[in-house]
Amino acid sequence: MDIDAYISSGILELYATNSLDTKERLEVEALLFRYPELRTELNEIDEALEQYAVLHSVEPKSALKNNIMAAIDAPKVYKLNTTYRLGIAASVAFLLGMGAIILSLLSQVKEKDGIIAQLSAEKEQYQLIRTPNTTKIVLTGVEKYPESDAVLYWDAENKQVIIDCVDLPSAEEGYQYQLWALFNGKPIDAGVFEHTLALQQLKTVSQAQAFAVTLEPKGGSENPTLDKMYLYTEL
Amino acid sequence: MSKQKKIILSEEELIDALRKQHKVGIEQLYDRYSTALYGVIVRIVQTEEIAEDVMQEAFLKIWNTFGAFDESKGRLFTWIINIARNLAIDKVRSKDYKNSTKNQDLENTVIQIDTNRSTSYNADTLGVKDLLEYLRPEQKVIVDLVYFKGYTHVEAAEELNIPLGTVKTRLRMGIITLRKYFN
Repeated sequence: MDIDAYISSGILELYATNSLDTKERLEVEALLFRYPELRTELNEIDEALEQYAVLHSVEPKSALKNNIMAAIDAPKVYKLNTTYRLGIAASVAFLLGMGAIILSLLSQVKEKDGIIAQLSAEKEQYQLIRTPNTTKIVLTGVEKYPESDAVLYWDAENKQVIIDCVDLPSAEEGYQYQLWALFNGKPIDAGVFEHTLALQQLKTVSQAQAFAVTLEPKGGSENPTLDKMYLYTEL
Repeated sequence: MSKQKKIILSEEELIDALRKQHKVGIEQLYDRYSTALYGVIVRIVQTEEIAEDVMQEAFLKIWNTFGAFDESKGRLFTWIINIARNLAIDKVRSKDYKNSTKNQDLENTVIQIDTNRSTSYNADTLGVKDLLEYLRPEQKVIVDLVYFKGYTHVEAAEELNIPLGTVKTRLRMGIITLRKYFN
């Protein structure tokens, strides 16, 4: 490149007076980087203009320095003009809107996850019901509750127990129905269940000669309350 | 030569202090360049009240964006005068400014400022007069429009009703004259 020709084209003077557009400026900067003699030339132009500006100095009021130093010391408080304020308000509104949409999507995803989990649990229970090992046992109401019944599925090999089609009176507040397996005259806790829900998997039962359902305080009891027995079926 | 070397060195220290956000940097920058920057700003915005606002904005911007300064692309003063000039031009173009100020032409303004503030005017009047023996008026007016007032070459050509090429030539010749005069 002919450096002298480039210099005498006057482009550095234009660069120094901030008179170039972005593309031209970037071109000059790329050449400045490559050719030190261009930097020397530019430095002299800059210095001459600087001295020219110094020659035209105007002294500001002395208070201005203190004001400016105080402003620099102050925590950053941006003076915003209306356009910026509107811009920021719009950005905040947009972010809030996006946030609301994301939250709603997340809750939908969560809800769907819940449904999927429930469906897959139900599928497992259906598969359990349909295995050949599983015995279907109809639990019938005792004398006092002839209308009540429920269906029990018991896979003796895998010890899994599922209760379904529960038809029992609504439990009083603070009470829950509890299933018992009876073996050699001893009741074994098989878990509590909600009388409103279909297909509930209960605790495992390895041996049973009979099944019974009693009403117990919420969470279940260690021993069945016999006068609150609703269902009883011997195998 | 040795004097000049010293100035360059202390400019390096000044740049270093500003990069590290040491307050001594901005304080010294103010001491060294405030009158030159203020001279440019006041020529553009035309009232001292607005010029003071612009000065404050300029120093805050220099302080907050100093990381963007790159000495391989020009001198420190060139960078800060560009910031000050651009802020002043933005101010002049703003709606608030247009509502509050009547436009006056450049020469009137400078004369007016000279009259109003002759006591605190730091301009080296003799220096300017001396320089004017070298810098021709048709060159000076273009250097002033472009360098002090931020006119584009097209704007300067329209303002003075001369061809664009003439603006470019006169600007370059004017700057060459300044270089000869100051160096």
